[in-house]
Amino acid sequence: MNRSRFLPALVGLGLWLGGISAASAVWGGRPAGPRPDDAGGTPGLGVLSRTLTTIPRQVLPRNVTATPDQNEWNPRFSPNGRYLSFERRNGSAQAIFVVDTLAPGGAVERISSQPARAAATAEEALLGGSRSDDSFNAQISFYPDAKSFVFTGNAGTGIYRLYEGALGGAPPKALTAQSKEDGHPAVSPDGRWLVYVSARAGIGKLFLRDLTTGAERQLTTGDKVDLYPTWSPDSRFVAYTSGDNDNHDVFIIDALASSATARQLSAWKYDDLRPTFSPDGGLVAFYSNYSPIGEEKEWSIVAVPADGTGPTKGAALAKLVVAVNVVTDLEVGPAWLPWGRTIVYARNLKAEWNPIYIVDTETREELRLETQTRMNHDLTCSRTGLLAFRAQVASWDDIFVASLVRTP
Amino acid sequence: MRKRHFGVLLLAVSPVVAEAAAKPGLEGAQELFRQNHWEEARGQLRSQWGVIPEKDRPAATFLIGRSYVREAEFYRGLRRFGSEVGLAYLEELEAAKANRSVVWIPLFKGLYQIEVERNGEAERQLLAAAQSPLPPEWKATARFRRALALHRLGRAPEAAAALQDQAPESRFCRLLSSGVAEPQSGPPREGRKDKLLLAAVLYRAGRATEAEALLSGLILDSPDVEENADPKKVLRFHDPLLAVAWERVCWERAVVALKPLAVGGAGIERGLAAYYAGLSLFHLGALGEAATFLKEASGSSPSPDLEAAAHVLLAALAWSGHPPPATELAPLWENTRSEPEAVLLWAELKRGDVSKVEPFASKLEARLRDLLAASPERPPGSLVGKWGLARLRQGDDPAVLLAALSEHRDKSNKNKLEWNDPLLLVALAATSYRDHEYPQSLETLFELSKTFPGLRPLQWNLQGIYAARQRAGGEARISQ
Repeated sequence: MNRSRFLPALVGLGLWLGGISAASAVWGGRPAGPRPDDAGGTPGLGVLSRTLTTIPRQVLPRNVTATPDQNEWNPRFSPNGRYLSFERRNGSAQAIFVVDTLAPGGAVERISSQPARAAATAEEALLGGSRSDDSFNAQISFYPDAKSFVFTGNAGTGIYRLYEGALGGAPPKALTAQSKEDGHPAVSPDGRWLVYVSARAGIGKLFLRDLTTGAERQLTTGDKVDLYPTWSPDSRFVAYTSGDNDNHDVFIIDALASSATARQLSAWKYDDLRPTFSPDGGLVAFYSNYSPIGEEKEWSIVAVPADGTGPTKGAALAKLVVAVNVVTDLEVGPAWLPWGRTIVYARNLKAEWNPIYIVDTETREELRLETQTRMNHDLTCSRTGLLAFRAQVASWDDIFVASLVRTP
Repeated sequence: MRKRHFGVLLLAVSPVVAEAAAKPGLEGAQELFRQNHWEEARGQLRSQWGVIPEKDRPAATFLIGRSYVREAEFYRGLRRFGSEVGLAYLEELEAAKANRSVVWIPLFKGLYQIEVERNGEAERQLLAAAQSPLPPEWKATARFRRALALHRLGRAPEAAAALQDQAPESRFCRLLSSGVAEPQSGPPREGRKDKLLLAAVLYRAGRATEAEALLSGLILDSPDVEENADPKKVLRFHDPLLAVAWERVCWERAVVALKPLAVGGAGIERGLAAYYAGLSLFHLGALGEAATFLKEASGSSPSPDLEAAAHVLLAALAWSGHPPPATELAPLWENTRSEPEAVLLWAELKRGDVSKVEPFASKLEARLRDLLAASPERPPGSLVGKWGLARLRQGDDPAVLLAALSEHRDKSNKNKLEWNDPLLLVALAATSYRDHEYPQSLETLFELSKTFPGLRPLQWNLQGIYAARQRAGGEARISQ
């Protein structure tokens, strides 16, 4: 087993994205950081923005999984930054695991929609017990209490539902029952709402669930597939991707308005995916296969005003590219640091093992973060400034964490 | 079209194919069994038998026997589906003007009519076929099989008179009609069909070793006749009796594996082995012997579901041929209706005289319809498969049934045995066929054929129907 064991998730998604069109030269704004072959952002050159100066240029990440012969991916923090989840495949099961970042080497909790059960019959026992966990579980989203969560699971069947559970609690229970294809859950920061994708109407659309009353309503309409919903910090707006195999754009919708119309944040021919809000809620960043130099396989990060007042296409939108030739981490999306308007990402430089960069989206200044890790990706950052990412150790991917808070 | 997007999204996060069990001994075999790799599970146990601890051997023996029962149930479902498809294919061929001179069509149509229990039509069809310009051995086939139809029509003396021949096919038909196993003592036969039919007879006569010797290397997938009169089109004909014989071989293998445990075992293994040996013998028509084992199973209370099922089978044996009065049915029904396996057995028996007894028949139909909805837990795939096939037999709307069955299928690995019970896949393929979704049906059969031999006749016939009805049969894959 090697990296290819988990790659289907990304490869499959890449195939699904499809229709990546050749970029045209609409680049005309301020350079978005150094070009890939610059090895740019050299630490120590120039005067860095205020935010960047507070960040150490070199860190020694701690491997929190360190499992030989197994891959881990998709790290996600609980809202308070204490718990870190990731996913791992074991045999035919894919489960979510959670570690306490304050207790290095402590217990790892396994989360699955198909908890182990005793053999139901004497015959089952004679044949070796009940069927082992062969369920698929992914996409955890924590509640504000940082202990309870919701995730996508199939309980070993072909039916994908949302499940709800709590760390150290009873086995997770199905939260959504009427649909067979639910996924991408996102709990609002205030814990009042849950937005998720469901294909119950035949096509993936966003649904909103009131977590107090359990009432649900369809949030988005139309004939395009809506994916990757994410909440604004004030728990009011939801940004998401919508489109088809040829083109996806980014939208934002007021989730609390009873009949809100989605506002389009991007409307060009490029694929725009996986939006995330800046901590102050003012910007939405997303991946785009727009490349300023027209490189077909390159992806950029674009940051646009979240209120929809920014450009949605053409050279004006191209000016809002804040990073180029990035490694796309569709599971987590562009990772904002908790301070200022700064994004941490991995640059697609295989020869340099995909180094990690931090870019100030306002000044476009960049800082290269030396981590001594290889093939970095799946970056995310906690509210407390703890960076988590996936990197390769002897051909296997582990999850690493490193604090971005400069210590005196 | 719309659905595709989300389907692909889920595919993007779907599990990869399950790994084969790497664990040795019983534990590894149990894992293989749970992944529905029955042949591999048996192979592992047999190859490692010497190192399996004594305490694990009853469980290992039971697993071998149980896997044969699973296999027999799989081939039973497949055989019934194959018979329906085979007859439909021959009717398509018969309707084409270009095939009017093909003498094989009336013969094989008659053979399939027997399998779908249209015995009156079969008898007339085969009478005509026996007088048509067929090769002598196929004329004999028409005579033997017409005798089988006659027997099922209640004309036993005529049937017996027509089955005096010593050929394996005649012996096998005698076994089917009267339960008498008279294996020949002469040299082994060379032909594939003769070997298989004779092996089934030898098994029933208690000569398992000789039977297995005949079955060694047997190829189940080739056609019995290829008609090449039109160089642009090859017609392939498959005798459905081979599927009947193969199913019997599976039941026989189960009996041979389970009998020692059912007789000499102890504890829970004994009761379970007795039940499944009894069930296998019931399907083989060995009613007296079946009753012995089912009584043993019933007495040892293996589990509530199997105990209820044993009661139903024992009652059916007691009634054999004499429809029970409603007063006799009612208490047994009430005592067993809560157990899904027993309800499915009732549905099987309903095909006979029991179907006429009311209000039992209506109650059974209602219970069968809601059988899975009432289940508090996710039911096993084999149960869902049996349920689907039972509902299909009673003529339920295939579109509705397909939706219900699909709820129990792992969509991300929709045809993979590791995630979907083989019997569930057979039910899905049969329902898709009934719903005119031929490519889906063929796709599922193609995946099954990678593991199970003997599917090719069904695939060819279904491909022929698809080509005739949709004129696009070339798009569907039968083989790699």
